[in-house]
Amino acid sequence: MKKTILLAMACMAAALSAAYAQDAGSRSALLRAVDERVAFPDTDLSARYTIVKRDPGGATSTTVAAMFRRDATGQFLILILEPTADKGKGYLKEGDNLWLYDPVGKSFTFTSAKERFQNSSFRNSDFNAYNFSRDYRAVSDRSEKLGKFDCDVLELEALNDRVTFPKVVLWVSDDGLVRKMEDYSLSGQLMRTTAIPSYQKVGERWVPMSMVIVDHLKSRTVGGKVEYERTTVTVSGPSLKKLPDSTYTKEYLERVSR
Amino acid sequence: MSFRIGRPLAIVLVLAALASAAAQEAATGTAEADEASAGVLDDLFDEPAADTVVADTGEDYRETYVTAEKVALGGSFYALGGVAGGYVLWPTEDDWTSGLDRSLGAYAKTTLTLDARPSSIARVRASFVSTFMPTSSAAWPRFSISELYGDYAIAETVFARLGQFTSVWGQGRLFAPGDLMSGSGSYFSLRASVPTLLDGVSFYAMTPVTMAGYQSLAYAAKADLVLAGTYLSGGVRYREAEGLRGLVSVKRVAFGTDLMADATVRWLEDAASWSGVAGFFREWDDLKLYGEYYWAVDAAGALDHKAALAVGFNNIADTPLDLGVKARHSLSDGSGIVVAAVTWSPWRYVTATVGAPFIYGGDDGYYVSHSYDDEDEDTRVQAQGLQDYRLGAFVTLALKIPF
Repeated sequence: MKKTILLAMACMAAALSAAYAQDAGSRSALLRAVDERVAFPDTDLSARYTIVKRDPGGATSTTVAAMFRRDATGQFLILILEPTADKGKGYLKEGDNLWLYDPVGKSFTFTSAKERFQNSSFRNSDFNAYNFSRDYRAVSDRSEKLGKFDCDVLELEALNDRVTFPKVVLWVSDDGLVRKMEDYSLSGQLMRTTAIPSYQKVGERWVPMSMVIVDHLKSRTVGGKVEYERTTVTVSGPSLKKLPDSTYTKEYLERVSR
Repeated sequence: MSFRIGRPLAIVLVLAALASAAAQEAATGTAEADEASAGVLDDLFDEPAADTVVADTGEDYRETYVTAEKVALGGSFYALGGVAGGYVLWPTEDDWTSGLDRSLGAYAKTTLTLDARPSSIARVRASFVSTFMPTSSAAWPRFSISELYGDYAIAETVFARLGQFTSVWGQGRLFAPGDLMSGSGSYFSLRASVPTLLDGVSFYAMTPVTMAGYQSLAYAAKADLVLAGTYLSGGVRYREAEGLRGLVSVKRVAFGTDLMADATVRWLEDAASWSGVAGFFREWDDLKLYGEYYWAVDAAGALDHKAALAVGFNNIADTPLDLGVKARHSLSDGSGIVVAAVTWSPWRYVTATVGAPFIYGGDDGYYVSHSYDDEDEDTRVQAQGLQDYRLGAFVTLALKIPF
């Protein structure tokens, strides 16, 4: 009798373990699919980014930038076009680090790529293609309706400290595109919510058409209602033109700076 | 008495602008707030714009910078005025009003930049600067060419720059012993860079505006490399009258903090002198913090060392006020200076500043006997400045219009 119970328990454990492994496998596969939908491994991606930051209370500021991205090497180059006061500033990302170019001081600063872009809720690292399958593991999933989208909701935990946020919740629609992200601190505090309601397909891959980001750490009570800093990012004119290697260098950044 | 109201305040302004607010909103950080804000964007998905297929524009956005505008004019107008008052000398015990002084000052500067790009491989750039200072004898005629150079790219492999331009080496923000190219803006230089070799290799040949023979020429080379997330850089510069100077730089980001170090050596007439700086930079959402330690050992073996800390807060106590504080201290003679300032931008392009400098130490202390910002361009055109105040206060209003 005792042997039978032990055997049954072992079978149940094995079945649970297999089910868990299957779940983990399917979540990993979904993360890989999510990454692949928006990566351009065979060419460069260029686009114009318009970033409008609205402070709690209503003040707005607009930054327009040209973005060049090479997913095969994990590099990107950002050139500020507007506002006039910042025109000529540039950002070059190599690996996990970033070069900032100040055309007034004629100097480069080497820093972390996790910082805010032009003091908005958009992070420098947000210019990257996703790499969820490398940087995170999914610890749970569920199905949920998000407006008109049927989504898989994945809770992710970071596998390394290269990422900006240690915990992320993703809403992935049926077509494998991330529609919503919630970024959390290690203690579980909600830091930022990003909505990507619509995408544009260029070649075989997808680029967000617009993103709306709410920074939960920047809020103010206005008229009895809590308002958050809200950043809207519009991506226009995507181009897959191949660019020379020298585009992703400090010298190029300095040369084109105005 | 005029007072210097240029770079020190500008530095404070920058620090303040870089600064971040001490307090995060009370509404954040709580479970209730998280719950309330969790679905804050969900309404965007009720009737979103449809996903679309767009044509690859094939646009080369580099053209936006390179040739879209054949000739571009730009620049800025900057004007600043203010008042200051305080002790230029410490008062005596029997007369607390001795040493008191006050001053009024104004300053304006116009920069005009011309940038011509006739093709994707060539560029000519010039910057002209004129300053106006009603409290001194000269006014707008303080005209200078701050840079004038041509760029030429050879097969996207070698970038050459020829003319008068500034190059900056080293990483120190508060102390800059690693900038072996300091003063390069007054040289006529040729720089050839190979950007795809390592993380950039550059060679320089430079001559002063008045060349007195080959002995006055300077030569330099620098190579950058990022290895396993660590920035490494090495550079050398040689000029017969200045000797051979070398620089090694290291920087790495660890736990969200930038950590950097520069070390330099100079060989001249069979003697070596050394200097260096090590520091950190940390940025939070509304707070920025720099710290640096500087050291120098001269050819006789004497050590001079200093430390500096700069901190800035944006929107202090949820107001539009920014606060910046910069402190420098000489560990060699005990002198130092602390400048604190609050800035506010009431209108676009306009910044108001209220601040207070405090200088301490003996009369022969470094920060008492020196201008506390030796590289301030305004100290070259104004003999007296805020450094005259051992303890004071100032109020300024600045207008900066970039175009």
